[in-house]
Amino acid sequence: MSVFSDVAALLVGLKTTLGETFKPHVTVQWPEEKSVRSERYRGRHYLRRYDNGLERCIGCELCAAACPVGCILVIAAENTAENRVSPGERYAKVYEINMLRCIFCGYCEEACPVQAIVLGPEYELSNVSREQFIYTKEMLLEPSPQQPPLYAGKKSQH
Amino acid sequence: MIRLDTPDPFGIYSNPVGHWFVVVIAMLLLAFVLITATAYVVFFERIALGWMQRRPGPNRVGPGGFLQLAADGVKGLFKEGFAPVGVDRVLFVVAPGIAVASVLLGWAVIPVGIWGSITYWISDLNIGILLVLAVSSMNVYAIMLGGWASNNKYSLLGGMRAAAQLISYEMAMGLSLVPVFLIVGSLRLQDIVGFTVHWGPYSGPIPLLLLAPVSFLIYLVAAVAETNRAPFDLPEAEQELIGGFLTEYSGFRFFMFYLAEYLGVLTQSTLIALLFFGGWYLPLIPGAIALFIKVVLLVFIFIWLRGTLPRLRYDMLMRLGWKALLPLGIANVLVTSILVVLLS
Amino acid sequence: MGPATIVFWLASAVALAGGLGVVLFKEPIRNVLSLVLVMLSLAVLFLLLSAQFVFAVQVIVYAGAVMVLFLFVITLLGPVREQGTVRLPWQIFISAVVIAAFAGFLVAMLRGVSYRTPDAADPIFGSVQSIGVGLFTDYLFPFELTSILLLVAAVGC
Ligand code: SF4
Ligand code: SF4
Repeated sequence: MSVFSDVAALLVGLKTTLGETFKPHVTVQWPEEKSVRSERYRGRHYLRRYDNGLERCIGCELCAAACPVGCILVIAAENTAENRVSPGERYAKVYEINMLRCIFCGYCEEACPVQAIVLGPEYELSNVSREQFIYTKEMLLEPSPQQPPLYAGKKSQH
Repeated sequence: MIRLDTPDPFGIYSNPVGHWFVVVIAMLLLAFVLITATAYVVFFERIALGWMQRRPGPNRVGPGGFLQLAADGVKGLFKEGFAPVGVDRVLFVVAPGIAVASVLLGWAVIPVGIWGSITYWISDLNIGILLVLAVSSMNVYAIMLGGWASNNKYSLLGGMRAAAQLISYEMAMGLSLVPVFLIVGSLRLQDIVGFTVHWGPYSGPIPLLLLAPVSFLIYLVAAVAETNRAPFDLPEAEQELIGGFLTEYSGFRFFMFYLAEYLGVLTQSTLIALLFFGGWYLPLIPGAIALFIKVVLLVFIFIWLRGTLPRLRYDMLMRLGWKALLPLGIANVLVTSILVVLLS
Repeated sequence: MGPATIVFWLASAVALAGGLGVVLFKEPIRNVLSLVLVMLSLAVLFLLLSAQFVFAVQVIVYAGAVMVLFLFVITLLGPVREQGTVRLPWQIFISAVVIAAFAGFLVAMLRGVSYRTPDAADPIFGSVQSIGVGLFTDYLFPFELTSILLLVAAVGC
C-alpha cells in the first residue's frame, strides 16, 4: 500500500532530524573562534616592502587599470636621491583603495609587476562610516621590517 | 454561566466585588504566564531547530541566549509599524488583535492542575472544548482580513489559502474529538482529564491516547494545520507568497501575529496533553510539573515536524484534509461508537 | 440591574448596530463583517439564555464557517469601493411597501407576547446532553430529514 510507504518515508525523515539533533554542532563561534582561511584567501589589501625597507610599489598604476570596479587611486611621484621611497624611478605618493567598491577579485594583485599590492587574510572590515572605508596608503603599507609584521604568509607567492 | 468554582476558604467569591477582583487577577496572571511561556516556546523552537540543523541557535543575549526573546520583544515594540498606501486602516489594525484574542479566549476553559487536587481554571462550561474550537475558528478572520486589508496580491492569496485550509481542517479536528466525547461521555475538559477506568485489578486514570489513537493522529495533524505551521504553513509561504498575509505587517502588529501563532502552538499542545495524555496525571510527579513535561514534549513535536517536513502543495493539502482525514475521522467515530455500545 | 442585564443590553445593541451596518455600509467587506458581528452577538444572547451548545454551534458554524465563505467571495472582489449606485425605478416606493409589510408582521407577532420572568432552568437545560437526547428522541425524524437534505445539497445531484 502506498499510504504505508508514505508514512514510512515520513518516519524516516523524522528519525533523521532527531538523529541530527544530538550530533555536535558545526557552527564556528565567531568572534571568539575564527574559521581557518586558506593561504590564497583574498581579504584586506597590503602594500609590501622589500626586506631593506624600501616600498615595492613603483607607481605604475597597472593595478588601477586592472581593477574592474575602478576603486584604486594611484598618484605617482618621482623618486629623488635624497628621498628614495622605492627602488624604481617613481613611487606612489597617494595610494587609496575604496573598500566599499572593492569586490576582492585580486586582479590588482595579478597585475602588479613587482608584487607590491597583495590581498591578505583579514576579513573583519566592517565600520561605521563611509569615509573610513577609504583605505589610505598609511593604512595599507606594511610597517618597515624593524617592526614585527602584521601578518605572515603570502610572502612567497609567484 | 461563567463562574469560578475553586475552593473558597475566605468566602471571597460570595462577595460580588471580591469575586470579580479574583477573576480579573486570575485572568491577568494567566495572560502574563501565557505570554511569557509563548516567548519561551519561540526560544525553544529556535534552539531545537538549530540543533536539528547542527547549529547552536541563539546563544548571545544573556546566559545561554535566554534573554534573546526579551531583546526581540523590545526591538519589535520600538520598530516602526508601517502601513503601506491603500490599506484598509481599520481592518489592518484590527486583524492582529483578532488573532491574539482568538487564541487567548480559549484559555477561559482550559484547566491546569497545580498540585494534588488543587486545580486552576477560570470557568467550567458544559460545552468545554467546544468553546476552544469556537473561538479558535475566529482565527481565520484575522488571517483573511489581514491579507485582504494589506492591499497586496500575495497577502490576499495567503488569506484565501488560510480560509480554505482552516475551514477544511476544523472539520477533521471536530470529528477527531467525537470518539473522545463518546468514551468519556462529557465535553468538559476536567472530565476528560479525570477520566478513569476500572479494568479488573487496575482502576485509575488512563491517557486517552491508548483508547483513541486514531483520534490523536487526526487531531495532531489538524492542530498543526490550524496553527498554520510547517508543513501546513501555506498562508505565509515565505518562498512563493513572500510571507503571505504577513507581508505588509511590521513592528508591533507583526509581533501580535507572531505571538498568536506561538500562543496557538502552546494552546494546542496543552489541549493535546489534556485530551490524550491524561493532563496533569503522572505517577509520583506533582500536577504542574507533569503537565509541563507533557506540554514541552508536544511543543517539541510541533517543532520537530517543522524541522523535518517540506510544505505541502495546495491540492495535496486539500486532498489530505477532505479525502484522508475526514473519511478516517468518520470511520473512527463509527468504530468507536460501536465499540462503546458493545463494551458498556 | 445585574451583570446579565448589562450584557443583554450590550449584546442587543451590538446586534442591532451590526444589522444596520449590513444595510448601510457601502463596501461589501464591511457588510459581511457587520453580519459576523450580528452572529457573534446573537451567540452571546444564546449564552445568556443558558443555551451553551447553541452558542458554540452558532460561533463555529455561522461565524466560523458560513460567514468565512461569504468573506472568501467578497475579498476576491478586491479593496475597490463600489462605484456609484444603480437605483431601481420606484425604489423608494417599493422599499416603503416592504418595510411596512415587515413592520406589520413584527407588530402582529409581538402583540401576542406576554412578558414574565423566566422559569429557573434546570441545570441540564441547554447542555450537550439535553440537546443530544432531544435530537435522538423527540426530533429524530426532522433531524434525519435535514441530514438527507444537506447530503443531497452537498453531493449536488
Ligand atoms: S581586489 Fe579587485 S576590486 Fe579590489 S582593488 Fe583589487 S582589482 Fe580592484
Ligand atoms: S601596486 Fe603594483 S601595479 Fe599598483 S601602482 Fe604600485 S607597482 Fe603598479
